[in-house]
Amino acid sequence: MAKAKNSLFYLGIIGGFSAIMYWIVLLGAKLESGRDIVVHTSQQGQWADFKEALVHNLEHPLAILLAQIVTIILVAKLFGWICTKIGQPTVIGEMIAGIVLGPSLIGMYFPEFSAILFPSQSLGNLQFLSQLGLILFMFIVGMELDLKVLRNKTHEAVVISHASIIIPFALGMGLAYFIYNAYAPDGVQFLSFALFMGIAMSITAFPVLARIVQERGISKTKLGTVAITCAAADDITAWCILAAVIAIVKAGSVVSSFYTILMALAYVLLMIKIVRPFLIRIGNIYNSRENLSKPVVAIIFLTLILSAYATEIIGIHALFGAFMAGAIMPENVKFRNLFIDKVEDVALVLLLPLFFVFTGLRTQIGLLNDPEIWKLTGIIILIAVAGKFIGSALAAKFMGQNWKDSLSIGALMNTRGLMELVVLNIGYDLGVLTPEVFSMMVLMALVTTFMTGPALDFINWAFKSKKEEASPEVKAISKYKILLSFGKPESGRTLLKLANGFTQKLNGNATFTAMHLSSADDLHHYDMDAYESESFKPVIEESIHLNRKITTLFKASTDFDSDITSVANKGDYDLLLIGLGQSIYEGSFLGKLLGFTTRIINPEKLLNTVTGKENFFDSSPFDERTKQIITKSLIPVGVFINKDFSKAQRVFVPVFDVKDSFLVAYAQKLIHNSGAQVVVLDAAGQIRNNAAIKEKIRAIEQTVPNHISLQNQGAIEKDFLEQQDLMLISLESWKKMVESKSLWLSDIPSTLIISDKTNLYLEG
Amino acid sequence: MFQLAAVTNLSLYLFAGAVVVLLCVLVYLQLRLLKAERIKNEAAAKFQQLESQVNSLQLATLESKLNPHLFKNILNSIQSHAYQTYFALDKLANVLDYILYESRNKFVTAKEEIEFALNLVEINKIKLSPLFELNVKTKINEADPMYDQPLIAPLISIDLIENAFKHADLQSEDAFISIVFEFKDSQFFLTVSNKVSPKSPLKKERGGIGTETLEQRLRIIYKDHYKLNRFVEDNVHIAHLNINLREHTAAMHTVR
Repeated sequence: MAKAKNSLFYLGIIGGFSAIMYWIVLLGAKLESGRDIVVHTSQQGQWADFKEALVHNLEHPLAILLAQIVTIILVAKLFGWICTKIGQPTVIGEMIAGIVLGPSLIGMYFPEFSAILFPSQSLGNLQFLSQLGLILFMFIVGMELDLKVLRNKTHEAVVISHASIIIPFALGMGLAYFIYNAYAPDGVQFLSFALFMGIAMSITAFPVLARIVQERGISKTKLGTVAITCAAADDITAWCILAAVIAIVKAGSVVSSFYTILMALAYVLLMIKIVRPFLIRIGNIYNSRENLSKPVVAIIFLTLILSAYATEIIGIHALFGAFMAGAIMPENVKFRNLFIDKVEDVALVLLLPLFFVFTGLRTQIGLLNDPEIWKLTGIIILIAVAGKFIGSALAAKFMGQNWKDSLSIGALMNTRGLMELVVLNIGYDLGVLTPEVFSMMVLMALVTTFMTGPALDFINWAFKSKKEEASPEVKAISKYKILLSFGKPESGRTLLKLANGFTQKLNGNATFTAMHLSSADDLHHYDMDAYESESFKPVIEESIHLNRKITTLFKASTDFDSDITSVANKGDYDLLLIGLGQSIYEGSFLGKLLGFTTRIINPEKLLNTVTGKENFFDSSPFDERTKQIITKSLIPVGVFINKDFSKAQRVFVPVFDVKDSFLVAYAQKLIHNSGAQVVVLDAAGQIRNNAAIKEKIRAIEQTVPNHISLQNQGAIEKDFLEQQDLMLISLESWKKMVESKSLWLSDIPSTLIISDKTNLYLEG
Repeated sequence: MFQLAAVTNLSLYLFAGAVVVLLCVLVYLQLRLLKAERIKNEAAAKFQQLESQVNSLQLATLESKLNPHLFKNILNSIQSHAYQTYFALDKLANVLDYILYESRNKFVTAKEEIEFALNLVEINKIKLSPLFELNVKTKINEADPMYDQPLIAPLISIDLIENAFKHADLQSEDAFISIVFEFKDSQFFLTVSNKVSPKSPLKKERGGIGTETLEQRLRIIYKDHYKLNRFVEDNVHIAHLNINLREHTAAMHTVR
């Protein structure tokens, strides 16, 4: 009923007002009398009219631009797809797409098509859009550049990267000397031409390199990190040099570029000293997607545009400003990732292909119609490869890399990709490069990028024949991996001693990871490093003392137990060792029982008891956090109660249940690795009736007498307990003992409580 | 005078009588002494005899105790061996079952193959010290739909495991064998690593067939969808087998 009413109302109001509008038009037509009205009437008829309008619309600048974008994206994606299929980075496909669409191919064979789709007057629009895309892209490149990486291992990487810049730079200038007369445009100084040839030879594409490294799964290896660090250092240096070169070329000489360079330095200082701290504050406040509100985004974009604008005005190209703005963004990874996500799609998918095609439109391979020129192209490529590849490979070798890694670094640094095109376009715009040289250099960029993958394959193949190297992942599978998680720095040392007791003889086949979590609220960014090194100091000392390698893992956390278990579960560890903080037992029943505290009444505890927060006689075996860790962890967990533990020589293993038999496997490790003497106590008479466990113990006794013994009597003497270094007990038995308030709990030695959910395969 | 003489005579007799009496006493005492001496000697001899008798008796008892103890010790080790043997035989029975009934099928499930391989490991354990660092891990995503499908060629894991036990350097102190089964993302992984001796292997009359046949089988059955790599680094031999069952089944379906 209501529906019908609504429909009626709709029809009524639309129909009624349509009638009124028609009436107004009829009335208005009468007003026309006396005016000169030109009515579009044509002789061709309606259909022809429509066709004409259509053609007219097709030639409208906006329509052409939109059509260009559609074509470009489609073709770029197609070529990109082909390239991924043949195992090349997509960048190459996009570069080729540009050349194909340009005058080199389509323009040459289908000039009409080219004239319609890419008329010369439309190139201006395309250029602006592609420049915008480049600015956004450089912003991303700057943001993806992790300056922290540089800080850690600067020395080696800086030497390699600077050698890999200066060598090709010098070679490029040398080449310029020979071709200046024949190929430099008229009215260009030799200095400008030579500097541009130099910089064009020495560029490395950080984004392409990073992607290749990632795709090959070597980002975590030494080679990968060195290559990435080198490329990062290379990137920064090259952009700074480029800025200087642009200044010099524009000013005409080194001296007159002085003011520009001075201005540029002032600009960099301003960005680092004033803008950066401001952004860091913003980053600290807004670091989640929820509160990254529109005003904040606006501030960031304003910074980007203003920075680009400033550099453009100073005369060192807007790209440098965009790169700089990206590089000074807060180093908060979350913040950067959020922003990269926001910008990346528009910049990389929509705008960047325009740049490729714009470059392609300028590239006229048809100009290279002389064998002489092709020879020169070959020489350029040869010099580019020789300078970059051999230069960085030699530098890497000199810095102590092995031949394979050095050559791989050389091959990786030889990737020029997109960055080279950026430099070439700037040179072209400045009039330093002629169309011929530009085309030759574009070809060089294409070839050097293209050869990276095959070169790496070849190096791998050439060195493979001698010795095949297992990837670190495969190697890690079979290792016995222990994760130590500790709060107090000193307890890390004890846990390491204990872990060493289990694995001493395994040498390289066992790995330790020491993890320290710190409350995220208590940490400030600036003292993080100091705090980290302080936390790990005792562990590292102990590891040096024991001559064992350890990996450290430091993390700021808001949710300790989830973070610990997720690291343990995902990291594929075999054993998680955690310390049991003594403080949490202060004043509790268990604390009294364990002798951690002499007072049973702790003021805070008492208050909590009175207010009902805690049960005074709460004797749960663990605190909440430990409980959570044990429940959530999928791997075996050892909870360690430390009572002056130094070495595991005398070990006591009470067995209360058949299920506890997995403890024998741990005891076995202690015997094997630290020569421990183990007493297994059959506390509930369960072993006597279980052949599997009994035989397991007997088999050990047969092999190493005097290292394991099975005792049956129930009573446990105080003297005996005091002689022991360590007690191994299963979680279930521990719970039972605490619940039954066993009398000898107060005399126990250091204790490792093991919860093992994976013990299905230990019998036998 | 006579009287005097008579008195003197009397005292003389008296004196002589006393002497005789004394002599008699002396002789008697001497005799008693001799007798006592003899008894004492006899007693000592007897005691000595008894003592030696006791000693030998004690020895006999000790010896009679010693024999069963020896037995107990020997029994202990035999029992231990017998148990291990029984245990190994039990596992061998499982292995035989598998070989007889399952391996006739062209494919078995990953689950069955892994169970079989675990039994095989147990049998091989018999040649190892119980303290030997043998690390067997299974990391399996049982929810994976391909885990319960017959897609694995039977006995495919046998060669790598056998090799590890055959070539492991059992003598060196940091010797170990590690066998890891993984099943995730519809892929089957087997990683076997073991310490090998740096010395060059002794030439054997027969051998090397296993490796080749394994490669051949894998190539015929799984074509491009498997990877088998072997590495030796720092005297550790690592064999890594990966079968991508998703690609494999996809390829089988397209062939049909």
